[in-house]
Amino acid sequence: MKKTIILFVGIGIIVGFIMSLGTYKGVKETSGDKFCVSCHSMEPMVGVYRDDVHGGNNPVGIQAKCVDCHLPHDSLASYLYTKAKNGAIEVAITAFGDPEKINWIEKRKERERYVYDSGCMNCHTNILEQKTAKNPKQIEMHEHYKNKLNTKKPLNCVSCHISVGHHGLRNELNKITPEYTPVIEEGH
Amino acid sequence: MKKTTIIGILGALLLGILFATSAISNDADVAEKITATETTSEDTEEINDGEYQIKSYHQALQLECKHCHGDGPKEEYEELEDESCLSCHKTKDLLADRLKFMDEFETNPHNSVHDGTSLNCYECHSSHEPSNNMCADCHNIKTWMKELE
Repeated sequence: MKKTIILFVGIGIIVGFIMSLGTYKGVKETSGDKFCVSCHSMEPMVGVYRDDVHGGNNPVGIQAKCVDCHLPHDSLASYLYTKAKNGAIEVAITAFGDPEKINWIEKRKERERYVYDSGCMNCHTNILEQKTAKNPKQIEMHEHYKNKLNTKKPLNCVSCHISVGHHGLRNELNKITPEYTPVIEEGH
Repeated sequence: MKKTTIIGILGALLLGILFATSAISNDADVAEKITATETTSEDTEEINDGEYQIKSYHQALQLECKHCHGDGPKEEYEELEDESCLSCHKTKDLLADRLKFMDEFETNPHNSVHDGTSLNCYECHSSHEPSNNMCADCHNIKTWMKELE
């Protein structure tokens, strides 16, 4: 009897370990641009991201992954829950909806919903405590951000950092769905 | 016997999740970092009752007088230079780059066919009164520009 208990606990540990390893691998493999761009509609976003500082276009080659900004990092539970929920919704939209019809230019206005400050702060850990900066305005405005935390209307990082991670996205999206079709005046 | 199997597997799964947790997450201190300081600054809403109202996009950021005009007494506030705008909006080249898609039809107001990137912000934008799109002085801009606030 005792032996069977030990045996099962042992097998259980191994099974649990393999499953958690699988989960970890699965979570990791579905976190970056290579996976996210497998949906056609993400091509413009991933394209400009790869040219952006956050996409690895920097002297040291550090790259923030899609989920580093687009998933909450305040707890593992909310990280995994949001990942599962968003994943399910996005797969459903891609499979049954019409992502081509989404007005991505307008969607940028909702950036405070889908970019998480806890993600920013997971890398920029000391950004709110800095005492000096090349541009002193940075210190002043981050102080403003701190003052608005825990108020009714907190600010988000992307409230100001509009195109962070995707510099030039509006230009790129305009290639697919132009915002304007100007009538060229005569004599020009 | 069956019970021990179930308990064994469950216990092991829990252990596994614990392993995975430590592998995926290192975020315990992030929430701690975001601790608010006391709000001492005047409310933006107050500004927008007064004579010098600000635009919706600046309101959204709950900007206060001092953020543009400094801490000095309000009686000494002056009209600002481009440099003040650019302390947040970075450079005119960058602003032009953000509207690069308009270059194709030579309609990019921040990289104008007449003036390049050299225009003064105030030629078109006003912070406390309706802006005046200078392009519209000569051109019909309705097909290629939104109304300036």
